[in-house]
Amino acid sequence: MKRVSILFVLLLLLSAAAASADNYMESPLLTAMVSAGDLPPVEDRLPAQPVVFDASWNDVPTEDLDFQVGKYGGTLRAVRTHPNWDADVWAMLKETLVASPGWMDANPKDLRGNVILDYEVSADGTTFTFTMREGLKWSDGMPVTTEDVRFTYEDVHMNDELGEFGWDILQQWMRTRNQPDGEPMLVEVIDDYTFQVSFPESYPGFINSLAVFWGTYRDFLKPKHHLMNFHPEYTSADKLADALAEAGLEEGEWYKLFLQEDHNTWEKTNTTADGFPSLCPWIIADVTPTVTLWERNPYYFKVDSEGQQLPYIDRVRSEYVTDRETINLKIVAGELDIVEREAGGPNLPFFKENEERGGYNVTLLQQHFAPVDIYLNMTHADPVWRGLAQDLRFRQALNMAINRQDIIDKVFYGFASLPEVVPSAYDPARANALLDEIGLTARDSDGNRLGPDGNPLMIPIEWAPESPDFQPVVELLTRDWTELDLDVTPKELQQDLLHERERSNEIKISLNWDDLEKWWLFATIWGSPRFATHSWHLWYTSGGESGEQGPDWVYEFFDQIAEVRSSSYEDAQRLVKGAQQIMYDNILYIPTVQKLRKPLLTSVNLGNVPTSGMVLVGVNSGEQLFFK
Amino acid sequence: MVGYIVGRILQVVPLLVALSIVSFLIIELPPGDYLTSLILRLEQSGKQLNDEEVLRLKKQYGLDRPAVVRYSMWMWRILRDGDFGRSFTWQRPVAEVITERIVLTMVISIATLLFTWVVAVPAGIYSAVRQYSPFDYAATFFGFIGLSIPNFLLALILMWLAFNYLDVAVTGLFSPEYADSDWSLAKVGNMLSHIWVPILVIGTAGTAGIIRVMRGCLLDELRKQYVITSRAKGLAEARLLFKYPVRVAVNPLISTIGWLLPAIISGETITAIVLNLPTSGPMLFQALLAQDTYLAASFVLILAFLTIIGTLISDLMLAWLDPRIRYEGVSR
Repeated sequence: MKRVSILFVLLLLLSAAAASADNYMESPLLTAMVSAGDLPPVEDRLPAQPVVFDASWNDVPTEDLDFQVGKYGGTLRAVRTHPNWDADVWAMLKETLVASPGWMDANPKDLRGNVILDYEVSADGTTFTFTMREGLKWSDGMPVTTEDVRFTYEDVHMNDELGEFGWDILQQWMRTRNQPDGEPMLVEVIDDYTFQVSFPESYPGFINSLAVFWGTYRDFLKPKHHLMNFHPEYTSADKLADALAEAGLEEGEWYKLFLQEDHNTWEKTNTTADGFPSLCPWIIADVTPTVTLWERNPYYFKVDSEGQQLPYIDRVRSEYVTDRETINLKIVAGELDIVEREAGGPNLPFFKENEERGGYNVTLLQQHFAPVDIYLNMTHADPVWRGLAQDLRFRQALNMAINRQDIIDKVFYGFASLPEVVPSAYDPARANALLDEIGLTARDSDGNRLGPDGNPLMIPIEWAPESPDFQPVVELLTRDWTELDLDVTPKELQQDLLHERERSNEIKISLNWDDLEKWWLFATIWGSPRFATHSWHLWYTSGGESGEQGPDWVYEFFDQIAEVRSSSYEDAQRLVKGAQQIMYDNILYIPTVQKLRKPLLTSVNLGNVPTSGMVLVGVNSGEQLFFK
Repeated sequence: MVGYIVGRILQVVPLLVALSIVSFLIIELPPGDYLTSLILRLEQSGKQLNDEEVLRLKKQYGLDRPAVVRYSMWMWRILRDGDFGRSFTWQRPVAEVITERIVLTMVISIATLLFTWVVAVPAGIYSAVRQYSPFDYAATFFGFIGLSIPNFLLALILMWLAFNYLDVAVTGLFSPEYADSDWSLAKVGNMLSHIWVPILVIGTAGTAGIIRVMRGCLLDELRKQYVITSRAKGLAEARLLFKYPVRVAVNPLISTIGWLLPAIISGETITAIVLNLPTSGPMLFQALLAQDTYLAASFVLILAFLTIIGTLISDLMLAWLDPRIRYEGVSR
């Protein structure tokens, strides 16, 4: 291990030397602008110490990618099914404060600065000192300094009005040891390029959150020079009133305007992010009803080992398509250069068959989440349902009635395995016996089991088409549970509507994905256990003020997860097993399959596409993709 | 005549008010609103909300106020400054979102309409004049096929044929290289090379229908005594045909002009989704699915408004054409 680190440092030094300040190169697109006097020369746009990107400084581990120095140009064509959200482009825009090779297999020892230059953790794990890159600039050319950090902390995180309104208030992981009621982080600015984050308790897991927490430099760095125009601390009441009137907002609602203007991590690909200063490789250049066109950020802070400023690709084109079949047609007609989210399981043979004709490669990579997990809401208001869902035997019965091998074969073509976090044996006879044991023995005239109260018992599955593999899984699931003489009624909802119904505790069974493969790192980010434990979870996060108290094992589980997230890499690996055991014993929720291998479709002309590893790691490193 | 027109317009006013209320209520009925996605995103960023915070959010967005108040505010803003509210999914003003799609929608709809009439009216006339000729049989055959195949299926078949035999994906209205560029002659040309697919698909059913209507009406007319008399008196066949029978037969088309107005704006939703057209139909569909309140309500309102105005125009035209309607209106 040690030898590897030394080698790594050596390589880093070597490559840094190779790219000395006076031989930086830039895309011809930008050279033209520099000659026209619209842009300062490249060495003035880059920080004093840019990130030098090569095989060793790479989110993708060296064994997964044979890194090539690329060349400039081209437009990358991507596709989305939401008007304001492009999952693939969103992933490609990932910039974290701290980066790690292999990303989600992050070993904290290999963590290193990305947006920041370097960091240091105090021996007791309470204080984190960050050094920023001198000369780092926003996409509009303004310098990035600790003043932006101070602004973000003092004027946004700690602002009561913004906090009350909800967007950027301190999130759970910004509180000590990831506790819902923990002491918030304390941010102190030391000089123009140094700042410190500290907690009252040892919280080593904090740094992991900065490395993999879905790319959130935006939680610590907001462009003050832009956002101060919408903040009463820096802008006169008159000016603010004018801006509010123009935006059609009521007087005093500055926080609404501020949040409209600010674009947090989740709003990176919103069409309204046009003009918002950013540190990402591409910024929005044009928005039409169906297409968002991204163009390279001239101030992007990374260069390759030859001194070429990244990204290689000049433009990214994100097209909004309403129908998934249209996407399939576009794929096989070779009209797209990169497709991850929309390249779901069931169409794999179709994609593979047309690979040559469409001029793309299908690469099967690992998925960090388990697709289509089933959540039985144990705290639904319906007393009959609640009684059943809380009965472990009922959850066991539904779990063992799923013919998982059939799902693996038919939907995922064998590229998935049986889950390990719940018992995965297929035993319909035992499932039937369990249901009889609970007392669901009476049948109606159609042969369906009646509820314990003698009324018809419905098993409603409500789901949203998050990705193309949901629908076929729902069909097989319905078949399997119907075999138990249950009246299963699947219903497709629009995504936002599903979550609203989930939120208001109206759903009995919902489907979603969960980041099972990297639980030690991501657990509870998506809040998925909450879908099964709605009111119990609310009780936990509100410190017992709302919701209702659930059984002890649920809180043991939540505590374990918080512990996992606040611990160092080694401890987290060990601790997560405890949480998994609770999950296994109690069947908190029901994953259908695990260890999925997900197709990534990329144009044959595209270079630096990983051949193994995590699919999202590959998509995340958009700046190194290039057209051969 | 003036009395009839004024009376008719006055009748429209309460109808419009009622429709605006209905369009607002339809949107309000199902559960779910913008707050959903707001909370959803808050959760995704790791923030947990309790009920109190949710209530506060509702207050901030005015969602805690009664529907009547929300409706009045909505209507007042529309009437005062054309502000239809903000689309939650698009995060932009509704008026802006709708406008940018409406031009292309109208281009397609009007081109389809012209295509339909240019093909269907002559074909209908010919079918009637040469009844039971091979052309008539052919037109009848294609007419029934066109009527019975759903548009979206025809679109899928065309797309498959084009992909399989011509190696092109006929989706959208432009090739990728033109889709993002400014309007130019080349872009118009590029659009023309794509637009025939939606026109053909959407127009087929309409064409088939009009052929049948034209043929039926004209056959009725051609059997009438005045036609036989004219022919007996030696009137040239073409003049005989176009002087009266065709004009009478075209009447059903004229009287349905009013219904076309909303259709021109809404377009063919399912076909547009399948063909991935940047028109307003798919947008309305998505807005309804996502319960994007203001966008959907504004759309429904505009369509309802156009239906009423279209009917009004139809009525006025009929009154102008047919004295009987005119006099009945005044005497009432």
